[in-house]
Amino acid sequence: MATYSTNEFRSGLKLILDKDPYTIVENEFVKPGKGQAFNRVKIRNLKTGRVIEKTFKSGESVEAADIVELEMQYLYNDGSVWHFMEPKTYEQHEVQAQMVEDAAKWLQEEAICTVMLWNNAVLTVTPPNFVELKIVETDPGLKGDTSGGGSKPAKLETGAVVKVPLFVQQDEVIKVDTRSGEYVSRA
Amino acid sequence: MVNTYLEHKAKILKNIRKFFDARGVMEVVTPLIRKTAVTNPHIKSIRASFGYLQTSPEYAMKQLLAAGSGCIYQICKAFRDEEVGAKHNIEFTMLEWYRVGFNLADLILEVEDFFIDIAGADKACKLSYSQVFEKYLDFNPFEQDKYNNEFLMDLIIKNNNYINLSKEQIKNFTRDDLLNVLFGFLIEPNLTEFVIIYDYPPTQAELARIETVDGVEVAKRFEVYYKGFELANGYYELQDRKEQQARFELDCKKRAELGLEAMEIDDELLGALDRGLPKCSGVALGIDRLFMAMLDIDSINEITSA
Repeated sequence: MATYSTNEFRSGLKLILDKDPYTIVENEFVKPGKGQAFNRVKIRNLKTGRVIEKTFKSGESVEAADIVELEMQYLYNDGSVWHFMEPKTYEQHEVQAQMVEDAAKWLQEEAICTVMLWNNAVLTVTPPNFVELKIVETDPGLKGDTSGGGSKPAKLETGAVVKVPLFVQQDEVIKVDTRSGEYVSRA
Repeated sequence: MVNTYLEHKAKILKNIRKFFDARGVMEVVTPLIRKTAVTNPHIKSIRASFGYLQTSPEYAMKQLLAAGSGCIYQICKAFRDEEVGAKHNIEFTMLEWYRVGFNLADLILEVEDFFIDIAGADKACKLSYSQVFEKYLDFNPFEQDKYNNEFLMDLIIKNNNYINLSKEQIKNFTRDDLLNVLFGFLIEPNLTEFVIIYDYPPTQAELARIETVDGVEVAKRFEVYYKGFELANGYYELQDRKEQQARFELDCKKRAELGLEAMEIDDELLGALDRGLPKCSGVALGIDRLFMAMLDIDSINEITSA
């Protein structure tokens, strides 16, 4: 079992705490009274996304998390299993639908995603920051209609629904920021 | 590219030398490598091929004092392994000075003058260790029966939304370890202006003499907090060789208990105490942190990198 000592702590270091994988977001070294030193860290649970604070005694060791981040190409899905491929090795990975839940609505075939593996099993799938998707359903949007706040909902080819400006029409391809879920521009 | 800090640092150092010149305190330069390291279990010394890099110039300067140097100061590098953070660098700059014939109160006044002169500070708020605990945590840590270690542990756990230490992590902590957690995590964040804390628990004496004040034994030690930085640590120096040796032996015992590398006791320092250290008080001040506090910088790398 690989371990890290608090001396090695830095942002981005991946460790295991209470059986879950975490990444260090912030690391502060303190030495009150010139006695026992501590590392106060902010860590993000890679499974749940929650950030917690923890204090370690200087010199304590923690279990290292075997975390690898890879680029993978989305191939297809059969409803319950989503298939990805490492573009360099052609190695394929099967991911259960619930792991892809958040990313699913942005994924077109061949999209390159960032996949985080923990002990070689898929932990998270992150879609590309920007995607270009076709609008499959949206109202024509009457000019001057401010009842929707100057925007209207549009359903995209992948199933995602985003707010778009009134002048954007069905069948147009738009650019969307997947992190905020917002319309950026026409593609 | 011009580094804007170089000129500021030079000006501050110049003013520091002027401060000591005016007071007749002589500048000295002592070796950075010593045969032995410190026995303090919380400090890791860096090994040189023969000896260790100093963690402070204290022992070397005390040897000078015992040899009759009179009041002295030094600005030099010190090294403490594995101490790395926004306010910690393994290699750092120390200002250390000793005043023959000064007791703790005398030196506290001079340190206050130092900050007023060099940093433009206002007068310091001076609180004893017991007063600062009473002020911020409502109890007197010297009343050990009433506020025993259980009480201290409970207080830490009670504040765990902020401290984030588990009962398991602190179960073997000594009373001083527990007090340091409470001080560092709960009291220190309040010390944002200019505060001098004095009269520490005798178990935290390090190299300070112990005296009885109002029927309570205290270590004649003070620490300076300025703009949120722990900046200086001073003692009314212990002169008694037997007592100092006993403290070092206790350190060695603690090192063994913690499974740390054994460190030889510094017999050159003990020899100096035998020869006779004059009655004096001394203080060690972090120069890098002083620069940071005065120039409003929050990362030590920024101030030391050029």
